[in-house]
Amino acid sequence: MQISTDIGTWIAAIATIGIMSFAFKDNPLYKLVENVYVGVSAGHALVLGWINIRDRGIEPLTSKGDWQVLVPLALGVLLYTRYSKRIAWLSRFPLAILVGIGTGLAIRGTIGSQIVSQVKSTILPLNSVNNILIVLGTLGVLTYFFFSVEHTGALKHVSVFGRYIMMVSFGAAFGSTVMGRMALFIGRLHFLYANWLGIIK
Amino acid sequence: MFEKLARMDRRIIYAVVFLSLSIPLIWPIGLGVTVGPETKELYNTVESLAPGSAVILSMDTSPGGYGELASGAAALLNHLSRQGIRVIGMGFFDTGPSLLETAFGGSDFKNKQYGTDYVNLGYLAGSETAIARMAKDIPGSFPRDYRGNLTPELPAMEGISSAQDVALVITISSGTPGVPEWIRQVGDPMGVPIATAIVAVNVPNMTPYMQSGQLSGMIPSMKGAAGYESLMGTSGLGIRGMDAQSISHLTILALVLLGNVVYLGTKSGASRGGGR
Amino acid sequence: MRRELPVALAFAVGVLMIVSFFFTSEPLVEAAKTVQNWGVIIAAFALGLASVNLIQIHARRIIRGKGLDWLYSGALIFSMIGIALLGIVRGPTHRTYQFWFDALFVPGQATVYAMTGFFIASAAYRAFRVRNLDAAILLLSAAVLMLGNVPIGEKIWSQFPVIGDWLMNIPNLAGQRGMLIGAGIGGIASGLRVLLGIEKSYLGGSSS
Repeated sequence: MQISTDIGTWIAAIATIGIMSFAFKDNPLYKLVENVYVGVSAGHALVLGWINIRDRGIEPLTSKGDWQVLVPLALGVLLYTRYSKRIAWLSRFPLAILVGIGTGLAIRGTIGSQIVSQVKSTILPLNSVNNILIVLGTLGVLTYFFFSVEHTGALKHVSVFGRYIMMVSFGAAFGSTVMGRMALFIGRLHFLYANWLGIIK
Repeated sequence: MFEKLARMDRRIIYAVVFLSLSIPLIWPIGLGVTVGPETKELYNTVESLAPGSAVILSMDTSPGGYGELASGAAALLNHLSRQGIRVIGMGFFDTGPSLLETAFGGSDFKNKQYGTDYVNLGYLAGSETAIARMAKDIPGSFPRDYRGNLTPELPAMEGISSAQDVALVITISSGTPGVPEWIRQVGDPMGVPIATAIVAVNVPNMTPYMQSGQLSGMIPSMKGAAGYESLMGTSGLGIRGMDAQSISHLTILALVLLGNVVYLGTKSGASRGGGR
Repeated sequence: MRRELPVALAFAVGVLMIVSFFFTSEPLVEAAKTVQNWGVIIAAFALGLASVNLIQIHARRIIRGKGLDWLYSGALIFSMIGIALLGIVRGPTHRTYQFWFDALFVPGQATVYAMTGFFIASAAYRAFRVRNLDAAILLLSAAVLMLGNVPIGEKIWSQFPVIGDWLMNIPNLAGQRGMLIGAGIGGIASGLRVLLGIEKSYLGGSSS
């Protein structure tokens, strides 16, 4: 294999090295690449926002005469009143709708998926060490976060056990995070060594 | 000496990590791969799908997370292609559909027919609201696909009106909306199996959903991708990256150990804080 | 009125989402679907807010910034407007658009995220100290899991993956589940506070 002759690969390689150079020292190339990529990111969001508005708001209105979409289109425009102090309060209406839908959907979903199903799956036969650990550990963590009663006597032991269980979870989180961070770096290095420099396959 | 080590320039640590990743990438050791049960479960789920059945593949990640998920997504797409599954692609991150185009182009789907064997419906704004909206009416939520075609006219969409019409949902996930939102709005209420290729940071949070059966398989980060590749009998970045993972993990553990030795060494003198 | 009306609106919309889930009356379900569609369109408008903020900040930096600030901010605004125009006129699957997406956005963000690999290594050295029993449990769990996660761990001791899996699927599961249920209950409580108008911080600004 040999070094890439593709212009896109070269630009991507310069961007990659530019960002990586920050580890050594803050420098103009890093700042330039960072700003350009943030710009592209924001521009991309604009494009996707426009497509959503066009396909789901404007097209139904113009081609099918679906007048009800005027409501969200108007509400969407109201979001931008936040930039004028005098009429900023109008932006609360679209926000209220977004928050209302999001909260309503999350509440109804959480009850079933995050509480009922999870509690049901914790009701295990206490016939193995693992099952006992799962049940006691879950109860311990819940007890730890239960602040309405003072943690004394047996409750204190349960809550301390819950804390230890959480420490195992945080350890697992750290261990997993290392894997993730290294995977990201390997991805970039592989790009540099394989796609750009061509020194590996 | 301990004081000197405690004040070690962070760039020395960076250089050590850089080398621990680079050397095994350039000169592989071939330490092998282990396949986790959650990865095997997803593999078996895909194996059991009937040819021609449809699967939603939702690219719910940004380029940042995709760096970690690309190898898993590629292995998964190749498997879906081999099984003759129709892939209904979409995304609930604004960057999802463009990354999906990249993923399709880098997989065996590039030799298949767009619109018939696979589609990219694009991005629907609104996070969890958007997933709920899509679940009830897919063509209504995506009147046009990402390439601008009218969705109802695409052969791949035949017989697909709601999320209930697909055999499996796979979210390539790195944040919110992700697995919990899919389970809340599609998996549990509609009874559609949910699976994921997910960034490592979120893997520990997924164990309750795996044990409860709300999640039907998972590709955890690069480790999962390597496992999936080995089940497929192929070799991609997953397998190739695992040597670098091994050495860098040892390096991080050595740094933790050294950090604690230095801590204990300096503690006997003037006690020093953790710092950054 | 300027606060009460939005709060009432959020309440009505939120209740509609909950009620339409439990009662399958056709008008209710249709109403919920319509409102969700509105949510999608409004959320699409919200995607532009970041750009407006960025233009405000960087236009100011172009005028009043020091040194090379004008260049960085100018590059940001130029690339934002350039990619937006290209995407809106030619579509996001156009070759040129995908080219810039792949050549600038993907490597830029992916590398920023990858750099956290350096920072976690530095943190491992400087902050991961065994100061007490809690920290010792955390460290031991992390170490075993890390060795269980990578092939070399198995080569060192064949039991590392076994113990790592056990840690992940038993104690970690219990811990995560406790936190999941706790967060679920907390989330519902704070959601109800929002819907009932007790929590209004999302409305921001003054109370006029």
